[in-house]
Amino acid sequence: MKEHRLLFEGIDVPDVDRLRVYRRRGGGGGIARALDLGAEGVVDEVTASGLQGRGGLWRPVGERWQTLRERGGARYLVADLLEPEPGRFRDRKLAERQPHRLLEGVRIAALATGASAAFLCIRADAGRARKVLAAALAELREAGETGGHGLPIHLHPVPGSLPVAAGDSLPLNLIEGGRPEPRAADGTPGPATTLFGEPAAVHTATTLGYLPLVMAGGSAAFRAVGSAAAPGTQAFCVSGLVRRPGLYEVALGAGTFRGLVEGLAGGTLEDRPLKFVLHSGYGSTPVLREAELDRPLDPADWASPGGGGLDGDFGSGTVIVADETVCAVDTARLVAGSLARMSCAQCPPCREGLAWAAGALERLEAGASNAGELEQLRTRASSLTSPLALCGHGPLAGSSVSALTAAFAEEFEAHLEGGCPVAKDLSMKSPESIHVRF
Amino acid sequence: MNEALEQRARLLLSRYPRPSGALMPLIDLVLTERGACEPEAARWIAGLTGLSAAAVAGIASSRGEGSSRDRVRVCAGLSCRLMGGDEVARRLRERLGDLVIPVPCLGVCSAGPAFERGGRLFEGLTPGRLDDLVSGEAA
Repeated sequence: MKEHRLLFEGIDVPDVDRLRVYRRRGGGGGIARALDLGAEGVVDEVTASGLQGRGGLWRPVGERWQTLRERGGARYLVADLLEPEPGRFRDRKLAERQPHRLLEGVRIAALATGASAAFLCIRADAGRARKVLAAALAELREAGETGGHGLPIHLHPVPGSLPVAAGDSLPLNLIEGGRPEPRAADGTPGPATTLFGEPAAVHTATTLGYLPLVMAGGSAAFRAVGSAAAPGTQAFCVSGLVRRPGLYEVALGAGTFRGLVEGLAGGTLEDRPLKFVLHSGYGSTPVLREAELDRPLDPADWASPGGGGLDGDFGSGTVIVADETVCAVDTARLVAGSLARMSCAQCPPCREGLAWAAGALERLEAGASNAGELEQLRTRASSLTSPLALCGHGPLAGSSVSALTAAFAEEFEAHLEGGCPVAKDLSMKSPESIHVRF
Repeated sequence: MNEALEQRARLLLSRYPRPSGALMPLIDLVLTERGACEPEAARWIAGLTGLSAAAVAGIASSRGEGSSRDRVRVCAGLSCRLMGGDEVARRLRERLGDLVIPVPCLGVCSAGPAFERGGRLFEGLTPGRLDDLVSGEAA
């Protein structure tokens, strides 16, 4: 299995974050062709490319735009760089390393949707990414390509932690000056959502980053990489107990999670036996044990989003690796506890349920729980997936705890007999190297 | 609020069709420049954005997790924990006590363990480097 860099192509070139270097290497060809083709031509080209959103839902971008245009287009474009999910750092790396590719994608998407202003919604503590993007925006302004008669593009920093899997309405709420929480559907079913009362298109930054490649190289060239149902690449964020954690961009369908973890990332630190892989961060369903790592890196093969034969959700490419020193109960406790803190506390199952689950798991870990409480944990975790939630945060937490209890049922039971049986190693460790440094 | 802050606030407000849009950037500005969003700052933001001071203070209170310049935010995400994040938090706390705050994730997950102070990230920590940072002026 090999890397295949499209999105992160050229990131090792010195000063590629500068406009002149980006242009010298062919950057800017995408927006130039988009301007030639016009909005309709861009939508057709992107539809033909089969590009899907990289936020985790894998929705076809071209079709979303067609629907939006049928309703009169968008006034605003939002690039979502928040990625609050622990373990995920793809959008941040794109902003830090290829800011002009992202900004060119923003301009192409604005052209296609009819947006006349764009906001880049980003975590306030992503300091380096903010600095690099601000410098890149200044370069574009100086070149007369944004602001003035060009598209105004603004950075919108958001401090503090946020719910995960909260959907498009979270960045929209954050830009309007609302509370940091998702909102109920605003009466416009489908991809159209509103910002300041007008239609807006929201895309994950990584998705936008592919647009210059699709436009400059053409849809056929984009389709030549990846699988038939999922063209292009995915940049996987690999972290945890591996020799070479980092960002690995591979062609979709061209390998397996085993190839990613044991091949590219070098396998476990110190060659300890691998215990499990969270293939989609805190929201991984199912939790993959060592024998299950041969699952393909193709969303089409998974029940979600592709309707394929493999159970579970392919997810967003956030891969966390655990070896035999990691306790499944402790992992569930950390996941539930973190997500409880990140909850916006609007919906009772999330607000009340996650804190309770974290407490129950802490008691179980300490050998102070009982069979009744463990059973209650299982029942409540599965009921968290109820449609009573406004967003995916609580359901994600519930399914994650359920997946861990299902994959390690014996280990959970064993904790009832006097606490944790796992020989943990919580000491400080260093990987051999980091692939694509911060 | 001093003139420099007022000027930066005006620039932020000019970017949004409604002044409320500048809420998060203004809270970020105040947290970065003043370390906390005190009542006086919340009233200032309320005046600029047309929101109530109570709404601004309420939202800001959930945004300032360890944003004070003195505070040290230690990543408590799973990726960092697996690489020894607990030990980092413990050793920092021995030295700095309650100033050390665990946060859900600092977003540098392949380079953990990590902490942040005053807008500066310290990642890829080793016991030796942590000792240097704790005994030096960085932490």
